This record gives sequence, C-alpha cells and structure tokens, in this order.
Amino acid sequence: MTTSRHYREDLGAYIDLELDGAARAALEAHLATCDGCARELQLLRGLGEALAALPQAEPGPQFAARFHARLAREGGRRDLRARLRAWWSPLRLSLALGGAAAAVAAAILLNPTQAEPDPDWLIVADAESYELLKEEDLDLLAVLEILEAWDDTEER
Amino acid sequence: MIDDDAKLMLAFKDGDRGAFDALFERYTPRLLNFLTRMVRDRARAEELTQDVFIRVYNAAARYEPRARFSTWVFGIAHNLALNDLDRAHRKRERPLDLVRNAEPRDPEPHADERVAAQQLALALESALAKLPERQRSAILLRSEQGLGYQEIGEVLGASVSGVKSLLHRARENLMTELKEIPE
Repeated sequence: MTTSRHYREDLGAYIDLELDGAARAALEAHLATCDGCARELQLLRGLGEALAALPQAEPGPQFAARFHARLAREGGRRDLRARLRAWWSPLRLSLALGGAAAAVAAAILLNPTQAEPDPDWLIVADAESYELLKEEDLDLLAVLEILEAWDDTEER
Repeated sequence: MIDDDAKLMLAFKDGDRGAFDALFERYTPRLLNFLTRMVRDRARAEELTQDVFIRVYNAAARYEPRARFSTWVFGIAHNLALNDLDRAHRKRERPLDLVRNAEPRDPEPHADERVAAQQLALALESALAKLPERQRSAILLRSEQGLGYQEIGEVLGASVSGVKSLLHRARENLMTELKEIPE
C-alpha cells in the first residue's frame, strides 16, 4: 500500500501535536489502515529523536565576560555619543550663527553698496564643517578633531 | 497572558539588572545552538549570540510584550543569521566540529553504537546544512527549541499552514539525505 499523499503533510504536524481534533482523528483512522503512512510516521519519529540527540553547543568559558566587556564598551560609546550630541547641538547653532554673522559683516564690508549679502556667502562660510558634523555616524575622533579645529579658528 | 521570560524582560525594563542576567543565562545555550547550526561557524555564532543580547539590552526601554519573549528573541536571531549569510555569501556545508568533539550523551555506549550514533549525527548535520535557510530555521526552531507553529510563523513571517508546509519539506529533504547513508 502506498503512502497517501493527502495525509503525508499531516504526519509531521501530528507528531508536533499541532493537528486539531478533527484532523487528528481522521489521520489516526487512516493510520490504522495504511502501513505506508504508519511506517512514515515511525521514520519521522526516528528523525525527531536523532535531531534531539544532536550535540549541544556550549558557550566558551569567556563568553559571558566577553559579552559584558562588549556591553560596557558599547554603552560607554553610546553615552559619550549622546553627551557629545547634547553638548554639540547648541554649540553648533551658536557657531553657525556666529559664522553667518561674520559672513554678513564681511559681505557688507566688501560690498557696502549691496544691502543684502549673496545668500551663497552664508552657505560657503562654514558649509564643509557643517556638512561633516551632520553625519550621525561620524567617528568620535573625527568629531573631536573638528572641534579642536574650530577652537583653533576661534583663538586666531 | 505574559510568559515568564517576558516578565523578566519587563523587570529589566524597570531596572532589575538581575532579570537581564537570568535571561542571558537561560537563552545563551539556546541561541548559540540555533545560530551555530544556522551560520555553520562556531565563532561567528558566538558573536551573533552576543549581538542578539546587545539588541535585547538596548531595546529594554521600549520593550512591550506583544508576543512570547522567545518568539521575539529568535526573530532577532533568525534575521541576524540571514543577514550574516547574505553578507558573507557563505555556504557552510562542512560538518560542524560540534559532532566530532562531542562527548556521548549516553555515558558508556558500546563502541559500535557510539560510532553509528556519531555517523548519524554527522550525516544529520550535513543534511541540515543543505536545507534552504527558511526550512533549516523552521526545523531547528521546532525540533531543537520546541517552538510551536504559531511562534515559528511569527519568527519567519509565515502563516501556520506555511510553517506546516516548510517543516514537511524540511523533513522530507532530511530523510532523503539520510537514506543515502550506507547501512
């Protein structure tokens, strides 16, 4: 007797206890009369046992220590990033405003007859640094270098 | 109803660091097993297991128990495994060292039984490695992790009938591979 195609997909769900009452009863009635499906069921049970007997992976001895070190590293990096962001936002605004004011002043001095400065001047004044600092993923070291460069500019 | 692990996660959300440690201890072996067999690389599986916990840790503040905790965690693990496999374009079909180095579960099996068991385990590991990723994930989540069809469906983004079909095909493929082992 061949295995009934109709019931084959139900066999796995049957051993997984995922068949509802009616389907379960129908399959059990079929199993009582179908040697092919009964044999298939035994094979599936054997497969389940073999899967359950596979060796288990054990974490290495330093696994937990490495995780906690990594967590501390990531946490530290995250805190520093948050602090830098909180500190940098108002500073960036004031620097941008300062840069804009300087650009306006320069525009007026260089071209006293022109009442309104060329808007491009405002963008050019600090565009490079500003664009760089908008990068969320900018490396911390790079942020600090930019800040130092700004400080140097301010001192001069 | 909120499961015990989700309660631990909520306790962690409220500041109980011990609750996170309990989840870490409980889920490390489970995730490591799942990920080792998904990505076929033991060292990478350890890194990915840590990635899962980093995500769990970072998500605590906005955690809401919408599903079982295990479903959520294995969903993260499944996605990380698929991304890793995609990124690396790796097909790790060699047998895992896990089998060769394993201590027998039965303390004193006869030598021939032990050899046969090891051969079966090696063949099964090899057959698992050849499964398409979603079938492999489904069979591991069912047979190794004991997740129900509903949960597996939530992890894989599939319906319950889709899970039933995936598992059926996974088992058929495994049986086909195992039938090729010499007696």
